[in-house]
Amino acid sequence: MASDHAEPLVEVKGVSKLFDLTQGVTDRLLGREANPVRAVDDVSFTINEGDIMGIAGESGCGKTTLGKLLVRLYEPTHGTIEFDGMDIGALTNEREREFRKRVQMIFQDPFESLNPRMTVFQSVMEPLKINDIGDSYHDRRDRVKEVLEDVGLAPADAYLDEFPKELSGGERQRVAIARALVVNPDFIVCDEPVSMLDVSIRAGVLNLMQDLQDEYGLTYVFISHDLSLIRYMCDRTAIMYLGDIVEQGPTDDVVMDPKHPYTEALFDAVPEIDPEAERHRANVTGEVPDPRNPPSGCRFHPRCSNVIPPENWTGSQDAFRRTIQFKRRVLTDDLDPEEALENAGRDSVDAILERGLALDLPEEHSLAGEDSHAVDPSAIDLPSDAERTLRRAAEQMLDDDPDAAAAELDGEFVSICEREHPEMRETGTRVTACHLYETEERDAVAAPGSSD
Amino acid sequence: MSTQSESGFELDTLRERWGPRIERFKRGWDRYTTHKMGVAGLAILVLFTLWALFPDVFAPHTPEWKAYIGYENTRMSPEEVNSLPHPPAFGDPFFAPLGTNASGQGIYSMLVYAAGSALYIGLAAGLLSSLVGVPLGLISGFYGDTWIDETIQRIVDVMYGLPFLPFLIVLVAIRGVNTTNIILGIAVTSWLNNCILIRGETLSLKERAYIESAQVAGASDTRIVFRHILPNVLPLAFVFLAQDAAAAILAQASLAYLGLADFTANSWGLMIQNVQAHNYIYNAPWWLIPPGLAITAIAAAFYFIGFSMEDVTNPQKE
Ligand code: SF4
Repeated sequence: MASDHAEPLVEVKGVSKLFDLTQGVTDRLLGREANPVRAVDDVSFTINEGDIMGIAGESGCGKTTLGKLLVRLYEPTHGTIEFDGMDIGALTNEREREFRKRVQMIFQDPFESLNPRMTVFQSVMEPLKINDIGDSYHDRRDRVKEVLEDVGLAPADAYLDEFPKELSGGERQRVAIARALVVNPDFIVCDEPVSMLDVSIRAGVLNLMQDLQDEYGLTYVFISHDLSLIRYMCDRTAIMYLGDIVEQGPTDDVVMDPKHPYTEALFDAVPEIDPEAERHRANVTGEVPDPRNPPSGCRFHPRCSNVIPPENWTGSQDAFRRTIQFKRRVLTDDLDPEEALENAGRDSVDAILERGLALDLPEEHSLAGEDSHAVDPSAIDLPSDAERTLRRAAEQMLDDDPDAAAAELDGEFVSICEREHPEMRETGTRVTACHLYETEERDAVAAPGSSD
Repeated sequence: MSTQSESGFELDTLRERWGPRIERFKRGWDRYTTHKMGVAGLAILVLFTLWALFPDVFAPHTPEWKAYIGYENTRMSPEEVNSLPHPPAFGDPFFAPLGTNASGQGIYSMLVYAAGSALYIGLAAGLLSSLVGVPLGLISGFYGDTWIDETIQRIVDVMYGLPFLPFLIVLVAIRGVNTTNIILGIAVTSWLNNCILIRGETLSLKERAYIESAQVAGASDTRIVFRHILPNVLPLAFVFLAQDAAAAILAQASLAYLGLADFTANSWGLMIQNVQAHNYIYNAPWWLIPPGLAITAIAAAFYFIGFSMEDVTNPQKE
């Protein structure tokens, strides 16, 4: 299990991966710049020998890209990855072969990761052949049988000549595991290894992977969106959001006492182990934004419940969050005056305020009488000058001048969260990238969980 | 150790290695035979192949044979000449089951003897265009979106602009009318489709996780292309080969009809052209219809085989 004296096996230093999207014809004609997707953005962490490191996050957060960077399926755009002291971006041929032998990957979809035209034997033997392990056909065949039995496909003889389509999902994933193990690797990246499998057989595969870890002395990286799986398997966990690692540390600490508001929200969304316990719904608004055009500053700020008000804000934090939401809606063209008026049938400025200040939240986090389309502004603790600014902006919206409204709001309400990208800070046992933890007094004022 | 057990051991190894492939072939065959079309296509092809290999077994005469006079180097009497082309008839003074043409050759015999050239043209043109199109498509797809791909695709684009028949006519006009040139001309245009379709297939196969899995295991580009991509495009390539063969036979027939055929070699297309040249299109159906049917049948056979193969080898349906 997690041991502090273990040697680091993999060190990731400031790694980014940008994908250039090929420009469409219209983009080219209009002379628009191709906007690269920052799939992984300046990520650093260390994996110790013998650890199981979890990488968690919603889909599209860059975790699979990170996994592929680790096994060198992708080259990082910036930064370096060191495996056992060698920079994997600059390997000599001989070192490269060693690296390919010591590092393996298990893919998400066992229906895709095995060549449909190769038998189980051919698939599992291929890495041996490529790496020139084993002297004769019979040597290799024996080795393949041994590994198949290790992954629970016994008697191996019954499986050797089968094609993948004759096997069940679980059997296929075991073959994929055998294929990874056959060269006796040190480090395996598992990308959602059980998410495509039937729920009933997941535990079997996971337990097998744990047993194999001891037997083969493996270090794992587990990539998953499934936090209960991460909790079950991993010693350490990194949480990713839109290409950033927002928090990482020992799994128990990250799970029991999340520091970053996103981690907290993510774990809230997971069903409790105890079925009696009331299920919490995450206190976040909206969807994951488009990674091509990520929010400025802290990428979580448009959804964060703890977004930090400026020093001179006199109202409540909740009111500030709503104000930021209002501003963002105006800036991203998401506030339609017509629609707001239709829904309310009241004084027009009020209607826009009602719509713009509402948060799209699960019921337990909403104000009384709020739904996702309207909230009563008087129930919110807005400072009067802020309310005046909002009303001015609302009037400009009604005059069909959203640019003026945007300018009005943009100068007025600014959070450090949208201006500055938070640095990784040590907070207790883990590191977190959130402005809340940059100064102690803020921590005292608005630590997440204090509102519960 | 005796050599006997040694070789027995080798045999075991061989059996272990090839067993699953034979097994798979058997299952493919079972599936293939569920297609009536495919079986019919295969039967036609087998028949024509037999015609091509052993024409003397199937045909009563050779093309040199002439009605009334047989192989003698004599002349026919004017009445005899006037009775040509002779329709199929019981009790004719010679044996020509499908009648004869204007010079007295037996239609059925000509048909049998021309099967060889039809098969030769179809298979040669099909193979040639596969041999060019498939490797280029593989390379183009595997190095998709690089300068290699770009170059190959530009060449394909330019050649696609060539109109097929006029191009063939010019080529044949320059290099002379013979079967080899006609095959070359057909292959020059038909590999383009192969290349484009195989490239598309390769592009999509390249994204499969098992390719990435092979890369993680350290497989070289060559290994990935030949071991992981090629076997998965081969069945498709075979389908194209069959279609190209059919198209080539039709193209050769149309060329022959236009007068662009090697007149020294007997072929079905040439037979039809002769009907037209002698002005018997409306009067001698026994001369016109059999070669027409033969062309249709062999083209259909190749298409049927191609379609049935596609179904057998399509992994989605397996
Ligand atoms: S930096 Fe600000 S917006 Fe980002 S998580 Fe922390 S409090 Fe929320």
